[in-house]
Amino acid sequence: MKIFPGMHYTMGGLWVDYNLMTNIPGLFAGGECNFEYHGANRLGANALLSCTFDGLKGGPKIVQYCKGLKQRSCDSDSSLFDAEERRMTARLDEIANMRGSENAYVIHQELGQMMTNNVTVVRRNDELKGGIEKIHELKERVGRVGIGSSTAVYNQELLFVNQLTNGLELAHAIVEGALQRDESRGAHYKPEFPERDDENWLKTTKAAYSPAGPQLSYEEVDIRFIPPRKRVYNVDKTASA
Amino acid sequence: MTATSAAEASSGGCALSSADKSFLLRRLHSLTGIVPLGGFLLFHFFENASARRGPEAFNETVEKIASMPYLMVAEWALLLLPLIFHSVYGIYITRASRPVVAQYTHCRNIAYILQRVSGIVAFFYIAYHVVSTRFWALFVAGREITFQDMATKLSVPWVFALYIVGVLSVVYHFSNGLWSFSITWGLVRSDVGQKRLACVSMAICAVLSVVGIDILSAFVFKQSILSAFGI
Amino acid sequence: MSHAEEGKSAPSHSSHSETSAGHSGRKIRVRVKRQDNPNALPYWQEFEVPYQPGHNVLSLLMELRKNPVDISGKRACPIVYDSGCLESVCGACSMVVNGKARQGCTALVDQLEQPITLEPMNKFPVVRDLAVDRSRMFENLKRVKAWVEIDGSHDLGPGPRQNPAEVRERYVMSTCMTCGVCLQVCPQFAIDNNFVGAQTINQVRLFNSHPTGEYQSDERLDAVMGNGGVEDCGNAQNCVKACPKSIPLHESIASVGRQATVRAFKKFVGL
Repeated sequence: MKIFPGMHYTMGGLWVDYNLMTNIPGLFAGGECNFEYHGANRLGANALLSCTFDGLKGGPKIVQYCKGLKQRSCDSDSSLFDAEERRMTARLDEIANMRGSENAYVIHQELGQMMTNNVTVVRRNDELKGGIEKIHELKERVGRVGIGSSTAVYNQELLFVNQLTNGLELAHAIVEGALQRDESRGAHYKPEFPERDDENWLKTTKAAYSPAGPQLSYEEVDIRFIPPRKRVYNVDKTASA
Repeated sequence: MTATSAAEASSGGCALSSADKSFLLRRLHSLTGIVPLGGFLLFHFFENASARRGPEAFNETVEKIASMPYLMVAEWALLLLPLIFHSVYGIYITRASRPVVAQYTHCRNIAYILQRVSGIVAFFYIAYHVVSTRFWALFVAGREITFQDMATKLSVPWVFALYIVGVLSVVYHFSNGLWSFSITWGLVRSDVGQKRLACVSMAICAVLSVVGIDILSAFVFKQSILSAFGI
Repeated sequence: MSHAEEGKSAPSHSSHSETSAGHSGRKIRVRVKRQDNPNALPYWQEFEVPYQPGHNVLSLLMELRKNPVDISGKRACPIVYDSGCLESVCGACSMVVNGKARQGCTALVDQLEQPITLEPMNKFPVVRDLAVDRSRMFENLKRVKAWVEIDGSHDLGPGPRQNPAEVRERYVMSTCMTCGVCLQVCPQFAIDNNFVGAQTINQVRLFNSHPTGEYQSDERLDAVMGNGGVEDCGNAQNCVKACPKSIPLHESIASVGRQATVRAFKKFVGL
């Protein structure tokens, strides 16, 4: 049986507070899509943990939040929703009418290959910089994509292009975050900076969307209860670092 | 379709409710194939085997049956009615079937198709057989059927051929029906059990086929085929 | 840094040199039965993909959508199909390949006669191209309560001890991925009847044999003892041969048959 390494989980994700609410009030994110639990690396079976525990913990919190609201969505002015629906419909119509010469699946493959070649465990700054240039190129090309048909029935191309444009933003955030982090930690290994740098880099990278690209900021990691130590597998667990 | 099934589910789908009799009808169809129809098949073969011992033995057997008490009731209520129900419902089941042959040539799929084909053939054969013997005896000849009557009929080659085809269809239908009866009612469950039962059912089919043809041969030859071999 | 450009025309899984050597010019021909929407008429379209070893039907479709041009050079829409895991555990990519209902991800091109024909499973309403509407299966799962019913998310304590041999049997039944292939090949299942099929009956057996699930066994049996229930099975056993997870569906059907017999008898005598 042939085996090869593949992408099967995302360690980072949407920022949420302890109650699983994102930075958008009333929008909660649970499971693999949020950034909780994993830090720089992911323990085996943590996916199960995050899915079950997030539901267990987050569910009641959502109910509590809803009960504390002074106004319900159905009491809100419908123009709020109509405007957003129009915006989204316009976006989808825009995609459905794209008749450029680029192929979204080719762009997706190029993005995937660049990320696989340059942004898995081993990262080099020159390659990461090249990756960002590639992302800029792909972002420009995705604007010139051509859709085969604008039919509304199960239009997979439409959904794919919509997700691809968002995927490029996400890839940009990942590569930018990796480029800035000049140290090695967990699944992020920079041969140029092979050691962990707790003094400067014991913090979580946060990325916010802007049309100019991801805007990075940092959040301290709470180490009050568990002091960090070197993570190695070739020593007795009870030995100190 | 979804709406109706949801409605059925919420009403409990009780097998004996007036709204839904399909479970009961299917089970009855399966059961009638064995009791009384299968049982009658074996009885019929057993009684007709007396033809192997010659015309007198056969005619004696016919008289003995004719003198059975409540024969009319038995024939109409316990035979004809179940037969009509089993055939008509069986045709109804067959109509709904969409066999897939191209990619699936394993035994059970072939048996599935043959069960329906043999059922249709058996229906027409039995109709012909009952009308030309029992109904003829009751309403036309006004007397019991004799060895000579059967011999005359069967000595016509195409009639003999028809009887062979008919008997084999009925025998296969019954033997395979034994197998599917066991699955339907859950008498046999495991893969191994089902395969062994299939062997048993095919063995029964082989034996009954040989017996059936042997009995037919007794009417047209000096001795039945097996008698000639001393069996 | 130049890997991305080098690999531009090759599938992303084959970045080794072995794939481009020795296959010059060879093409894989694919005929697809397409349909633009649920009410449109189907039509055939033929395509060609450069040969690469290791292709399965889904990777062929992925290649095609990167350059959706049919065999006559005409621009076409990318073929619409459902897929998920690409390893035959999700059941999304069911389709009819060379006349046989199966998963697309395990249909290896090297083992298929050409031209490879792809069709949707026509016993389900076709949505578009190879994608069909399988909600009927999910409605049936709801109908038979295909889950272990618990009365809340509060702490229920440790579950009952389970016999490892029974757990092994249940595990096999639980691998069903609701792919629909068993229904597609069943001579008793049709788009216009309401037979629940081997998929649903197997779930009844699975959850009836679970120590907690069995509390709902009467309800499950009642749901399959009506119109379209287990009685419609004709024992052709095409489902067993076609099941991509090799579930012994004929054993499940016989088992549920037995449970139905007992239940009918008990109801009749008032037990």
